[in-house]
Amino acid sequence: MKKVLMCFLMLIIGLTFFITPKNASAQSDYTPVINDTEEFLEEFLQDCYDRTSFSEAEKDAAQWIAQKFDSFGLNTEIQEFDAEYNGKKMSSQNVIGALDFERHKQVIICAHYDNIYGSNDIEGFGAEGAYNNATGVAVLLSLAKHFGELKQQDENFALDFNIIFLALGAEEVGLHGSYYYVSQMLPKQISNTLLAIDLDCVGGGDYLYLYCDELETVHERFIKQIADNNSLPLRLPPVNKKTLPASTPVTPYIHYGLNSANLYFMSVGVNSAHFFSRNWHTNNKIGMVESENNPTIIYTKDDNLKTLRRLYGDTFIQKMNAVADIIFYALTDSEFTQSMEKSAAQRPNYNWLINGSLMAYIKLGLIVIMGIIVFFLIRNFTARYPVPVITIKPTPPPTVFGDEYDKKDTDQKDNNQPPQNPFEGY
Amino acid sequence: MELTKKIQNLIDKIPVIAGIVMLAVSITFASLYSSQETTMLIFMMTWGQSGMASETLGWWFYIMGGLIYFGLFELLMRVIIYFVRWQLPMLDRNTSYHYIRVIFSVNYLILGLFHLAYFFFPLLQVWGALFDFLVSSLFLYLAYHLISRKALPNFLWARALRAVAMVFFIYHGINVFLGLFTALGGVL
Repeated sequence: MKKVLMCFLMLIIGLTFFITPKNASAQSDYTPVINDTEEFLEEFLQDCYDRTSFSEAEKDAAQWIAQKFDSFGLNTEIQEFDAEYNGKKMSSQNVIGALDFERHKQVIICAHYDNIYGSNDIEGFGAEGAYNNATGVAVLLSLAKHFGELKQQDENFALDFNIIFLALGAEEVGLHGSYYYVSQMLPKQISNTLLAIDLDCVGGGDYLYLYCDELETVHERFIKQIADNNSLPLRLPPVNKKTLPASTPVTPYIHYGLNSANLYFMSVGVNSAHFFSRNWHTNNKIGMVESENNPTIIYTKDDNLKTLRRLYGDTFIQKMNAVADIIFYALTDSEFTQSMEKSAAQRPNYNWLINGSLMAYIKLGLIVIMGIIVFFLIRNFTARYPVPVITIKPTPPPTVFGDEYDKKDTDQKDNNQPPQNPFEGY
Repeated sequence: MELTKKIQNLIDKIPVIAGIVMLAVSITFASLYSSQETTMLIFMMTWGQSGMASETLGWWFYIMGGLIYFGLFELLMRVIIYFVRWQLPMLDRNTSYHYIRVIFSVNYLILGLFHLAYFFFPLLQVWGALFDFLVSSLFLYLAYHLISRKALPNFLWARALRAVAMVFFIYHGINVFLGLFTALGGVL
């Protein structure tokens, strides 16, 4: 019996060496619908490794993206703008590619294409920006190509909304591209925007995240459901999000979900979905945590394709393909438009909650009320307990010689009485 | 007055060291969320800037800020008592310190329980500041009430209230006006 048990135990232990658990981030059984993100990433980094904000190189990168949009059959436009940076007036541009189905509603998919490589006045770190944000641009281009091909090849293919593919410039130096684009949107365009999808650092990092809003929304649940139905790993922000005490147009603090182009879309009330890859769940590191185990590469010379492959293998490509597929499935879902409209109708309005001036007025009012109460309290105490009047006996006459010396004993008898307590009765 | 005496007897029974520990623990508890925020900000402004590797810090960044706030509280308390004693030199310093520590440890316990909500709903911080102001004002009055009944003859209560109120209204008044000035873009 003992031998049987020992053999059984050995068998179990032996099996554990051969049965390895599946890596949750490796989707080896999944075949992506959109799988050319890697090619776009390589091509983009090869042709446009320097895309420093406000530089001529950034302009060249914008032209490169515009040519790609043209080749996909999109209506392409370059939107130039000026912005102030370090006290100087600088110029940049957004690239807009519209896939027009002649609808009133639209969906915006954006990714910033600039980096801080450092070939201009702006100091940089020689960062090619493979992770930040060539990965986002690669997904943008893949989606543009895929939807463009569908429209060109299939006459019956149509969506309920137009798609705007938007490559944003000058984002690394203060989100200027998204700020300008949103500021130029007409109120009708804002109300007709079903969803604004932002792709920022979607390869690399430990986990792929989706951030939509501070409170749970219908469109967040919808997109998460799409990912779950297709077994694509997508995390929502942790409940106890770590924040920094720096305010944004929509919140009195900032965190990973709010440090990108989605911020300005949120500020005008547009449903937004921000995809990014980092590690937001770790409690062992603080700061900008990309990975629990790998070093940080963002804004460093290591932010290049070679390092991405070395640190993350092919998982960063899988993340990019996963994001592209999630967006593709979401936009082609029959319930997409209805869900987005429902989400917009139910969008929580918490402007009153973060209205700092309202709070200041209330606090001022409370201070005035407290002042009135304290005034009456002081008056009441002063009336009820007046300061006692202290009577001081005259001092005895100085010791002298002669006639007054005879009265010495009489004087001393009077002085033997104990002095009255001036505070008695108070 | 009966209730006042009961509370005073209770506070008198608490050893001074226990009062210091109570205050340190309760301030740290009330500061869990802001300590995390502040430590992250200071860290990122020093070693953890973008582009540099983040360090492993661990759980203690939830309490670091609280301990610093405790130090600041002690300093502020001594400064305020110093100014109050200009008008009331007979006020006993050590009694005042002990009473303030015990009373405000209860204050920070209440605030800490409320601040736990920030971990799940950070937006509440803006209105949470108003809650902090109201509760702390109440406990400040309570501290004045208990200390003045303990350490001062009653005809000096009004003067003590005036001295404490001056510090309170000057600080919060300037605070609010600056806040309004900033919020309204410089035009009041």
